[in-house]
Amino acid sequence: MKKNLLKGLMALTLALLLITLAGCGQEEASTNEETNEGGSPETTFNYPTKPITIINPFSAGGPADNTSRFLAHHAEDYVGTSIVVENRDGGSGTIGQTAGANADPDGYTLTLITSSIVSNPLFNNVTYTHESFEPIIMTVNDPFYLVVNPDAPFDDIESFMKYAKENPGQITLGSSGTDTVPAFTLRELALEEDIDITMIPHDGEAYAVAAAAGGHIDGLVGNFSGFESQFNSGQLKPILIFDNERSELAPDVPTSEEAGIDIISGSWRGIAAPAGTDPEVVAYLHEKFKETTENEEYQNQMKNAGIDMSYRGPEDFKEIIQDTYNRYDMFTQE
Amino acid sequence: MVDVWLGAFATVFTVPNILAILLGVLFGVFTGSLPGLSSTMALAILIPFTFTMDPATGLILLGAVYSASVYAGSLSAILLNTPGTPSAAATVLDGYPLTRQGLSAKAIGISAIASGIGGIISVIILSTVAPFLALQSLRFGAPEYFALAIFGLTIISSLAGKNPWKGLLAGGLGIVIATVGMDPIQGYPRYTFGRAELLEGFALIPVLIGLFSASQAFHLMISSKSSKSSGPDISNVTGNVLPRLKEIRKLLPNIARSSIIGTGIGIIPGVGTDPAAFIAYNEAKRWSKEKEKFGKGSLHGLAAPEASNNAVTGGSLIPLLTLGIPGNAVSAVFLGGLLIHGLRPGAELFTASGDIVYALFFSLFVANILVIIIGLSGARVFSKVLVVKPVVLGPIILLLSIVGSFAIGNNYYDIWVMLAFGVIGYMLRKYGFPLAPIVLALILGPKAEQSFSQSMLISQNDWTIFFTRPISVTFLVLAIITFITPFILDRRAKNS
Amino acid sequence: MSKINKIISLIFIVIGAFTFLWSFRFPEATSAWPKFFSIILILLAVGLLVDSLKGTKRDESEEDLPSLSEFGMFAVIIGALIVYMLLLNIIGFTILSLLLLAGLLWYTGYRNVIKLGCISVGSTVLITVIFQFLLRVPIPQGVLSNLL
Repeated sequence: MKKNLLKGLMALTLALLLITLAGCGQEEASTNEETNEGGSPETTFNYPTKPITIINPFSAGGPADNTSRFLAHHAEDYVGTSIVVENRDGGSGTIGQTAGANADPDGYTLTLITSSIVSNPLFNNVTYTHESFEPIIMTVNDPFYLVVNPDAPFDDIESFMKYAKENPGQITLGSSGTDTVPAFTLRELALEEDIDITMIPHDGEAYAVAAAAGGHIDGLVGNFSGFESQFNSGQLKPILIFDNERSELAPDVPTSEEAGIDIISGSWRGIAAPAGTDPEVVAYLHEKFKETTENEEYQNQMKNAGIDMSYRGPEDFKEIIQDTYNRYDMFTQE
Repeated sequence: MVDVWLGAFATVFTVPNILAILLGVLFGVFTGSLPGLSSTMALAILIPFTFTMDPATGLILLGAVYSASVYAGSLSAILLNTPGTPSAAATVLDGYPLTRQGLSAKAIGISAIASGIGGIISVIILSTVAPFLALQSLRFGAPEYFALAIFGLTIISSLAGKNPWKGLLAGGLGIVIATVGMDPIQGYPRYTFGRAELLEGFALIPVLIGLFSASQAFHLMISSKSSKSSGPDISNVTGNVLPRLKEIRKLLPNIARSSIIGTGIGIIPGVGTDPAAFIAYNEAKRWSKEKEKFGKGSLHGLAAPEASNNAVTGGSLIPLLTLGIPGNAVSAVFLGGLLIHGLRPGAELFTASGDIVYALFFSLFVANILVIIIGLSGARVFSKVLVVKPVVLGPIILLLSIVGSFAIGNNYYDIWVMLAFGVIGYMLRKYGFPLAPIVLALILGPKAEQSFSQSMLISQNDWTIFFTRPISVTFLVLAIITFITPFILDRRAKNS
Repeated sequence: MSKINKIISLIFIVIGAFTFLWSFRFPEATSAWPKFFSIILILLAVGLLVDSLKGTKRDESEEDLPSLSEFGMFAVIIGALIVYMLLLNIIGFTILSLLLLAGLLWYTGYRNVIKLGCISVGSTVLITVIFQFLLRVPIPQGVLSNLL
C-alpha cells in the first residue's frame, strides 16, 4: 500500500518536475552564470546586491508582458543579478503603477511603463503622475495606423476626411479599448480635424481587426503587427501612419505630416525607476539594458512575438513621455 | 497547406514538445484514472506551469492532458465499476462485466484502441473543419457575437446538470459576477466598492483553479470522514492486452461511427463528454446484431462510448478556437491557457499564430497514438495507481492551487480570489449546481455585453439590428428554443 | 433536498436584489446590463423556489441541510487556510505549507505518522523546488528567505 501510494505521488510530481525542466532548461543555465557574475561586483559602486523586481502593471500574457519578461530574462546576464517580473494588474494599470511609483528609489523595484502612466493620472484619481517615474530605457515604440476596410466608401485619407465631414457620426472605427492609446488617437483625430466619428471599443486589437476585416465596422486605429496578415491578404488597407516618417513595412502609406494632420502617436513601452533614484544606478541600468537589447537572442524573441523594437535613452524617452502628456492633457479640458 | 503541416511536424518533434506530450499523457492518465480527479481539475492546475513555457509547448501539454485524462477515466470504470471521470460512465456498462469474466486486460486494450482512434478521427475533423470555420468567423460582427454568446449561455445552462433551474441559476450567477469591474464600453467601475483590485473584475485563472481544483480538494477532504473504508480491492489485470486483429476489424465501423457522433456532439456547446458516450452506446446497440450481449460484456458496447468520449475532445476545440465559445468546462479552462499566452480565438489565430495551432493539432494526433501505446503497455502499472487514496490528494491539490494561483502574477490577491471561488464552488457543487455554466457565463457574459453595446453604437441604438441579420437571428431563435425546451419536456413528462 | 433548495433560492434572491439596487448608483448606460441580469437571477431563483415548494424531485442526491460535523470541518479547513494566508509573508511558504499539509492530512483522518511525514515533506519540497527554482516564482520564504 505504502509503495503504491508513493509510486502514484512520484508519478504526479515527477511529471511536473520533468516538464518544467524541459521548459526551463535555458533559464537554469542562466541561473548558473548569474551566480558566477554575482561574485565579481562592480568596483565603482555597490549595485546590484540583491534581485531586482520589475512591476508589470498589466496581466500576464500579451505584448506588454512579453516586453518586460523577455528583457528581464536576458538582462540578468548583463545586470548581474536575477530579475523578477511581478504582475500587479488591475485598474487599467493603476495598481501596479501606484506600487511602482511609491517603491523605494533604490533601483531594486522598477516598473514597466506605457503611455497609461500618463493617461491614468489624467483621467483617474491616483496618487502619482508621469513625473513619479524616472525613465531608464524605451525598448518599444510602435506607430499607429489608420486602417480601413477596402469596401468602405473611402480609400485614402482625403476621401476619408471628405466622407467624415459629409456624414457625421456614420464612420465606425474600432479601438483596442476605452482608455487606450488608439482610442485617444481617434479622439485626437476627431478633435483636430473637427469630424464626428463613432468609436467602437473592443476587448483588444485582435477583435477590432477581425470586425474591420469582416466589414462590420469601417476600420480601426492599431499597430502594424495587429493587422499584418489582413494587410497582406488585402482585407484591410492602411491609409495613414501617425508618424513623421513612412514605414518600411508599408511604404505606400502617407504619414500624418504629409496629410497635414498634426498627430504623432504610437505605443511606447520601456522601463523606469521611481523618481529620485540615484542617477548612477539609472545610468548603470540603462547601459546594461541597452546591451541586452542588442543581444541577438532577445531580438529574435521580440521579432517572433511581433513586437517592434525601438531604442531611446533616458533623455529622449523623457521627452516622448512629456509629449504624450501634453497631447492627452487636451482631453481633460473637454 | 503542406508547409504549414511540415512546420507543425518540425515544431512537435523537438525534445521539449515530445516531452510535453509524453508527460502530459502520463499526467492525464494518472489524474483521469483516479475517481474524484477530473480532466477540468487537471488542466486548471497545470495552467500556471504552462505559463513560463513556450506557447506551443504549453498548449501541447494541455492538449495531451485533455486527451489522456478522458481516456483514463475508463481504467477505473473497467476495473472498479466506478468511472474515473464522468465521461466514462457509459464505459462501466460493458467494461466491468468484461472484468468479471476475467477479460480485464482485453477490455483495457480495446478501450485504449477505441479511445485513440476516436481521438485521432476527431483531430482530423478538427484540423479540416476549424481553419474553414475560422474564416467564417469574419462574418461575425458584433450582433452575431451577441446572439452566439446568448445561445451559448442558454444551451450550456439548460443542458448542464439534472435540474435546469439550477443550471440556469448558475449561469445567471456567472453573468452577474462577471459585471464586477469596469464596464466594457465606458470603463465605469461597477461593484468595485472603491477597491482598485476589483477594477478589472475577477481574473479567469484563479477563478478556474478555485472553482475546479480547490473545490475538489475541499470535497475530497470533507468526504473522507464519511468514507472510512480502506483502498478499493483491485482485481488483477488478467488476460492478453492486445486484442486480435480480427476483433479490431469487426469493431472499426462501430468505432468510426461513434467517433463522428462524439466529434459532432463536442462541437455543440454544453453537451459534453458524458451524453456523447451514452448516445454512441445507444447507437452501437441499435446497429448491433447481438443486442442481447450489451450490458453483459459486449466489446461493441465498450468501444462505442470510449471512441465517442475521446472524440469530444477534438470536437469541443472547434468552436473554442474559431469563435471563442467553449463547448464544455474543460475547453473553458483550455481557453484560459490560450489567453495567458495572448492568443485570441478567431481567424487571426489560424493565420498569425498558425504555427502554434497546427502544432497543437499535430500534437493531439501524436498524443492519441501515445494513449494507445501507453494504454496497451502500461495497463498493469496504471491499475496500481487506483489504490491511491483520494483523501491524501486533497491537501496536495489545495497546496498546488495556492502556489499555482500565486505563480501567474506573483501576487497574494489572486490566492484570495482562488480560495473564495473554491468555497463558492464547493457549496454549489454540494447542492447539485453544475459549475460549468458559471465559468462559461464568466467568459461569455462580458462578451455578450460588449457586443451588445457595440451593436447599439454601430446601429445608433436601433434594436432591429439583431433581427435583420440572418446569422444573428438564427442564433437568437435557437437560444429561445433551448431556453424553453427543458421546461416543455418537463411538463410533458408530468402530464403523461 | 427541497429544504436546502429553498434556502439557496432565498440566497440567490438576496444577491439579485442587492446587485439590482446597487446598480442604481451607476450611470444609465452601464447599469442596464447588470439590472437586467439581476432581475433574471431573481426570476430564476423564484422559479427554483416555486419548483421546490411544489415538491418536484429533480436532484439525484438526497442531501439535505449540511450535517453539523461536515459544516464544522469545512469551517476548520477554511480557518486554517486564512491563518495560513495571514502568516505566509512572515513565516514563509515552505515551513507553513509543510505544517498545513501535515495538519490537514491528520485532520482528515490520516493516522500513519511516517507516511504522513513523507507525503508532507516530499510534496512541499517538490513544489518549492519546481516553483521557486525552476519556474522562478518569488515564493515568500519568510524566516527562511536568507537560507533558500
